[in-house]
Formats: sequence, C-alpha cells, structure tokens
Amino acid sequence: MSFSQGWDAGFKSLLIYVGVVFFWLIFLERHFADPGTSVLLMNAVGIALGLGFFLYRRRICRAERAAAAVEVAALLAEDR
Amino acid sequence: MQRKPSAVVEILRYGAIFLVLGFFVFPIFWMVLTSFKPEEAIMVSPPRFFFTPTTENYVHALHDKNFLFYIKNTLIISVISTAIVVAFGSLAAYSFARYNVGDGHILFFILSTKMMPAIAVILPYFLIFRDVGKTAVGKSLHLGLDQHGALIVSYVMFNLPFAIWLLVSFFQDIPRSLEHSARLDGLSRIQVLRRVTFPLAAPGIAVTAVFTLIFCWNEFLFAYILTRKAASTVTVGVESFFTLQGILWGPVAAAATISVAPMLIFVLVMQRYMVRGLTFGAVRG
Amino acid sequence: MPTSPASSGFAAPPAAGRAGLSDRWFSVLLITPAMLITLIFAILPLVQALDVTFRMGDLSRGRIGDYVGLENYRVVFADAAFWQAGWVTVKFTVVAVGLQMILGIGIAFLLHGATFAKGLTRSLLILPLATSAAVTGLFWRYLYDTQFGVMNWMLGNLGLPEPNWLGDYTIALWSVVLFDIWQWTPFVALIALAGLQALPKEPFEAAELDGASRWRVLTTLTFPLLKPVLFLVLVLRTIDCVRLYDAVAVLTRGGPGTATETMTFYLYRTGLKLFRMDYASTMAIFFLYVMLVAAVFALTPLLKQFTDRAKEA
Repeated sequence: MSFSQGWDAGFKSLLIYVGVVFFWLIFLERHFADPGTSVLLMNAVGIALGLGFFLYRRRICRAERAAAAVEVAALLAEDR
Repeated sequence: MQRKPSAVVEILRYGAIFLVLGFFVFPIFWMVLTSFKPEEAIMVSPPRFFFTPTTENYVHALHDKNFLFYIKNTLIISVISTAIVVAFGSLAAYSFARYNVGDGHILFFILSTKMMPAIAVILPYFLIFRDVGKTAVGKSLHLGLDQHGALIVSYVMFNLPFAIWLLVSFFQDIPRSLEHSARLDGLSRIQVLRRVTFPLAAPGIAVTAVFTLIFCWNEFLFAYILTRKAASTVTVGVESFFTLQGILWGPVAAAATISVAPMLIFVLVMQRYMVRGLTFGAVRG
Repeated sequence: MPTSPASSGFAAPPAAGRAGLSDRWFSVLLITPAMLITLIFAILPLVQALDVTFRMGDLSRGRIGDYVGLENYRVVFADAAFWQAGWVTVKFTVVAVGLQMILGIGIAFLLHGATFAKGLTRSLLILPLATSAAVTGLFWRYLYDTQFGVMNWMLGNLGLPEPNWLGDYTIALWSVVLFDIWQWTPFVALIALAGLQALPKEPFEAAELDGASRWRVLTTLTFPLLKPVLFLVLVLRTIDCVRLYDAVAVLTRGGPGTATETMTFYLYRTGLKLFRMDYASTMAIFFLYVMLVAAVFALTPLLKQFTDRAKEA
C-alpha cells in the first residue's frame, strides 16, 4: 500500500468514523437510557467500521499489487 | 449536420432569444433607469418609463454618502487580493499540472476548502483578526478588524481554490515538449517558467484574474462582518442606504449602478476570454 | 530516446545533469505559498471551531467556557429549527440548481443555432454574473415591491395574479430562487454553449448519414459528449447554492418568519445574533462534514481528469 493510497483510505476511514458518530447521535442515542453506554458503544462501532474500511482497502491494494507483480513476472518470462 | 431551418423556426428562435435576453438584462436596465429618476417618479404606480432625468441621486450617493470612499477601499482590497491569488495560484497550479504533486490529495484538500461555507469560519476569523490586530506584526500589516489586510487575507483564502482549479486546466493545455526543449537549451526551471510557460498561459491567467477580481469586488459577508467603516467595501456601502425612513431607492440605484458598473464594463471587454475560461479544460476544442 | 517509466515525466534532461533542486523539491516549493495560506486560514479556524463545539460558548454571558463533551451536538441535533433550515436549503438547492441546469441548457441550444448578433447576445447574457448578489439582490426588492414594483405591474397588465413576492411565506423562498436563477442561469448557459461548440463534427455527420432521428442523436451523442462539462457546472452550482447567504440576507433576512431561513442564515443568526458560538460552530462542523462527504463523490471524478492528464507524459 503506497502512501497515497494509505492517505486516501485513512481520510475516508475518518469520514466513516465521524459519520457513525453523527448518525448515532441523531438516530440511535434516544434509545439508550444511559448516555455513557451509548457513547461507548458509538465509539466502538465507529472505530470498528473505520478500521474495517481501512483494512479492507489495504487488502485490495495488496491484492492489486500482487496481481501486477505476477503480470510483470509473466511478461518478463515471455521475453526470455 | 445542419438541416436548413425553416423561416418559422428562425422567427421563433429569435423571438425566444429576445425574451430570454429581456429577462436577464431588464433588472440591470431598470436599476440604471431608476438611478436617473427624480424622487417623485420612483415611488409611483404604475412604474414610469419616461421622466426628466436627474443626477440628484448620484449627488446624494457620491457627495452626501461619500460613496467614492467605498469604491476606493474595494479597489485597493480586490486588486491586491487578486494579485496575490494569481501569483500564488499560478505557481501552485503549475506544480499540480506538471508534477502532480501530492498525487491529487493536496489538490483535493485545497479544492475542498471551496466547499467550506464562509459563514462557518467567519466567527473564528473575527476572533483571530481581533487578536492579531493587537500585535505589532498585525498592526504593521493592517490585519486587524476594520482594516484592509484582514479582508485581503480572507479573500485570498476564499478565492485560491477556484483560481487553482481554473489555472490547472490552463497549464495542462500547454504542451510539455516546449518546456522540455527549453530545458535542453540550458534554461533553469524558473527561467522556463518565466520565459516559456507563463507567457503561454497568459490568457488563462488573465481569465483567472478577471474572475477573482469579480468575486472579490462582489463579496459581501466578510466585508459585512470584518469591517465597520474604515475598510468597508461597496457591497456594505450600499447597505448603508437603509434608513429609518425606509429605503431610498433613487440613491440606492445610483450607488448600485456605480458599484456594479466597473465589473459590467470589465466583463463586456473580457467576455470572449471568460467563456473559454469557464469550461475548465473539460472541453478540449 | 527511450521513454523512462519514472513518474516524474518532466525530469531534467540527462545531459544538463541535476544541478540545484530536484523536481520533487521544486514542485513542493511551488505549492508552498498557497499551501501555507490554506493551512493557516482554513485549518486554524476549523480547529478553533471544532474546539468550541465541545465547550460551553454563550458569548452573551462572557467567554468560551468549560468542556461539555457532546452536549452541543445533542442540542443541535434535537433542534427542530436546525432541521427546518436544512430542509429549506435542500429545497432551495434542488429547485434552483435543477431549473438553472434545464433553462441554461435550453438557452445554450437556442443560442447554438443562432447566427445573428452572437457576440452581443453573449455579452448581454454574461452581465448578471458580474453583478454582486448583495447589490442587485437589494435592488430586486424594489422589483418585487407589491405597490411600486415592476413585476406586479407587468403581471397585472397580463391579467395574472399579483403575488406578495417577499411577504407571503409560501412564495418568499421561490422569489429567492427566481433571483438566483436570474443571476446564475447565464453561467450554466454560457458553459453549456462553449461545450456544444467544441463538440467534434464527425460523429454527428456519421449519424446523419445513418439517418438517425434528432432525439436519438441528442440522447446518444450530444449529451454523453457534454457530460463532463455539465457535471462540472452541476457541482459548482450546487456548492454555491448550498452555501447561499448573500441573496437571503438582502432579500428576505430569513423571513417571513423562518420561511427562507437557509442553513447558512440560521447559522449566522445563532452565532452572531444570539451569540451561541457553541451551537453555531457545531452546525458549521456538521455542515462541513456533509459537504466533505459530498466532495469525495463530486470531486473525485473531476480530480481524476486532472491527475490522469498530469501523469500522461
């Protein structure tokens, strides 16, 4: 994963986390009796989704890179 | 592809064009007309198209309200802001267009600041300039509230994204091969920029300057919040015609005409270039 | 000369050697002034605003106060007026941008076929763009005047109803829309026109040889080819409409009641009239978040054009 791809994925992960926070506060928090539990759960979900997205992107980037490497190797083998 | 249109279609087309132009030009026409009306011809029903023209509204605006003062402020602020925006913007845009610096992420960041509503940052700006204005550096650069520097900085900030956006497309239209051969002739990068690239991009830079100047000239919110009197611009000046007796439409029309006239003339002169510039290189013609 | 696969396709020629700066540092140096300004004057206020969202900030009672956690967000999200302002903004944006696009494209087609007085039409059309919304908007109040306004005089002569443009709460928002349409439709029209005139000729000639109907040419050739330009205008117009402030401020001041209170105007009222800096900053941060998410979707295709062209060496 290059720095550029990492930056992109990181930025989007952050957006996802903040999005979860907003969504939670607007729609879900009213169903909780205790705000402490709500905030804790909110952070857990937000971090899980943000991190999940980041790892997902990293896996895709790695797979792409591996595929590219295989292709290059095949081309080199053909040349010989 | 052009099928010969029939006469009926042509008449309909020009009739429609006439109506469209009428709609877009009429409010400006009416504004200019009102500015020459004597007071008794303004608040009347039905509206009057014929009257004895008078300059009393202009006298009121220029003399009693000292409207030239606002024009002077606006001129200083917008010209300096435009110069800075174009200078910084072209350097950055060139870097984005040629070297793809930041792989699009920095460009995204700069462009996304255009998304920022001015109102969202106006409160922090107010506090920042209030504090900076009290420091020695702030004083020497006129960065305090109701001073020119504060508005110039705000305008530079808010016009840079659009300017860079426009300029990147212009720089991309300049063939690299020209710069490359100039480099082979032994010119340094900066010499290439100065002698080859910028002269070639001059029309695009001019278009960007025109747009920036218009946006700065017409800006209202920052001028309204960050100035009181000493650095107020025309858009704020026109607001001062609200009086307790109501709005004086004659003088308002005169002041409005004075304040939009420079930009109207400017745009009429630059029209051909502006339309080309507006397509942001999305059209490759 | 073999082309190097290096990403810096504009590298120094090998003969001249690498005297002085490398390409990388040169490019970084070029963006430094613009970056500094943007960083200082975008990030600093934002960080400050973000800080205030977690604190008590009633300026009418003194300075910015203690940290209160997410309390401001809870208050703002529970505020019906906030969602109402958001709804007004959405209504305004969808209707104004939609009509501007339709009318603008229509006018572009109208002008594209015209051969007479082309320069003059364009010059006249561009005029509203050059005027300030704060100045002409103020004057539109005179046009909209129920007693002395030209609008109602014309409508009356045509035997149409004469609405109370800015005073009737069911109409006021559409009056602001009409003003925005007046000012910005020419922008859409002129860009679409420039796009139309830059279209390549060959596909259209081929289509005519094939005997394709006008409608088919329009839907399969003209619009797909115009799409990049139209998308760009759409993005630019949407950004401006969502951020609309000037026109509302001079035409209606949010009224009558709160009928034309857009998000930006409600923000302004909360922060600078009621001095609730904390709520205003919270709204600003939420607003910005929504815009950023929109930017990811709207700007990515546009930026891809740029970076692709920058990469092709």
